[in-house]
Amino acid sequence: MKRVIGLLLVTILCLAFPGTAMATPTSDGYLIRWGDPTSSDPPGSGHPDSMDAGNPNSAELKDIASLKCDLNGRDLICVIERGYPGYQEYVTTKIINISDASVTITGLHIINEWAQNIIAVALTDTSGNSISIPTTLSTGQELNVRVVTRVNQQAAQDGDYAFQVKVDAQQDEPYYPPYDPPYDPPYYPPYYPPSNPQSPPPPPAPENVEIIPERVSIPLTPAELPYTGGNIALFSGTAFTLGGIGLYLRRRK
Amino acid sequence: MVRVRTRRNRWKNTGMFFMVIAVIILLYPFLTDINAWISQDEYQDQLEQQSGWADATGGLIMPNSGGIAPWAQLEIPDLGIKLVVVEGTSQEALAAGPGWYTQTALPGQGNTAIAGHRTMYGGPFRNIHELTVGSAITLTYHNQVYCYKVEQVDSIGSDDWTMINSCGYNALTLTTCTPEGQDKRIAVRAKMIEE
Repeated sequence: MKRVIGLLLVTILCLAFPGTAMATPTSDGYLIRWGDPTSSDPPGSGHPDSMDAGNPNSAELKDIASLKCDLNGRDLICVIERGYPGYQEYVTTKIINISDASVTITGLHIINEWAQNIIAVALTDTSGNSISIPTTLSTGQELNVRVVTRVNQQAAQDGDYAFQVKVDAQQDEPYYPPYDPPYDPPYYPPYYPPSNPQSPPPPPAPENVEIIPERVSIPLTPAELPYTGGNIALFSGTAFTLGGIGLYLRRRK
Repeated sequence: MVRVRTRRNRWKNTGMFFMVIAVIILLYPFLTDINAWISQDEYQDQLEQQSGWADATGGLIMPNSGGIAPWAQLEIPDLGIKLVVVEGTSQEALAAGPGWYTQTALPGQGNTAIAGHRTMYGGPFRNIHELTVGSAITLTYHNQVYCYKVEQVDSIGSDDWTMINSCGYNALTLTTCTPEGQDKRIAVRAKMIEE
């Protein structure tokens, strides 16, 4: 028994060292930081409130609520004042990889638990189109984004909410350039077909094309409907199996 | 001789341990039922208290959104069901009773969807498959009673959100698991008949 415990301890210690070596964040523990944020509906702007897609009240064009945003150190703080269900605005900012290796962004969440059911947040590009997640940023790379915030339907009317938004990011393993051997590989020129010896000219730029940002609908739904079963047969089977083993051990001579 | 007896006692104790674990596992589903019933009683009281506040303030107070909170009352006379619906469809919420999909509309504002356990945790939607077209369902939200009539009972895939999405009219959708397996759900769609 002592041998087994000793072996376990050695295994844990052996695994602990490579585990700590895997992550190499900056000295204060941050992998990314936010750029300067700009709200789409700052207080006193007179900007009519935007609402979630399909909201029947969006045609009213009233300025009731506002969205303030600021940086607190490297954290993004948002404050919604006089928020009401359906109120949806965004913060334009950047996500910058400040670590020494590439970082994969896997999502976005509010760290204040009380606000997680009340406020929804999502990342889009600066035109309001969805960003494919996960997305990877190399060291120092900046990603221009919008952080879309929406007050959910179960929130109170005329509510003030201050919350902190955090990017879910994980660092990939540091990149080590491959060993460059002395052998210089031969150069193969690119192949052009005979009929078109030169690369085709770029297509003419469209003129006077107005890009209309798409209305953002924040995806809130997980992949599956909630599991509402419960396998009683599995519980019973497990219980009877364990009970049988227990009975056998007790009667064993 | 003493060593043999000690070893035998050790096996007996191990056997007893297994049997105790077996009893706990066997009882676990019933314990979840009891927990759900107790939660339902508590939420019923809270809901009545909330209704009192709503009355006093003209119905403007929204339910508390932090944690699990009672949200509305669901009644299905054909199945003898009268349950408190809680906010959210997390496993914690559904352990206490049927849960409102928070991304769906409030009653009277579109398609309101509610999920509930079919087995364990009180099994609030145990017999939901017995509902037929025309069965009545009422939802009481902020002292306002919303009446619905069942118009379809379907078996859908576990990743099929079409029944939860907006359907263009005021409706109530109930979902639960099926005995067919984890990749299927039963969805009951009911249409509002009066507001």
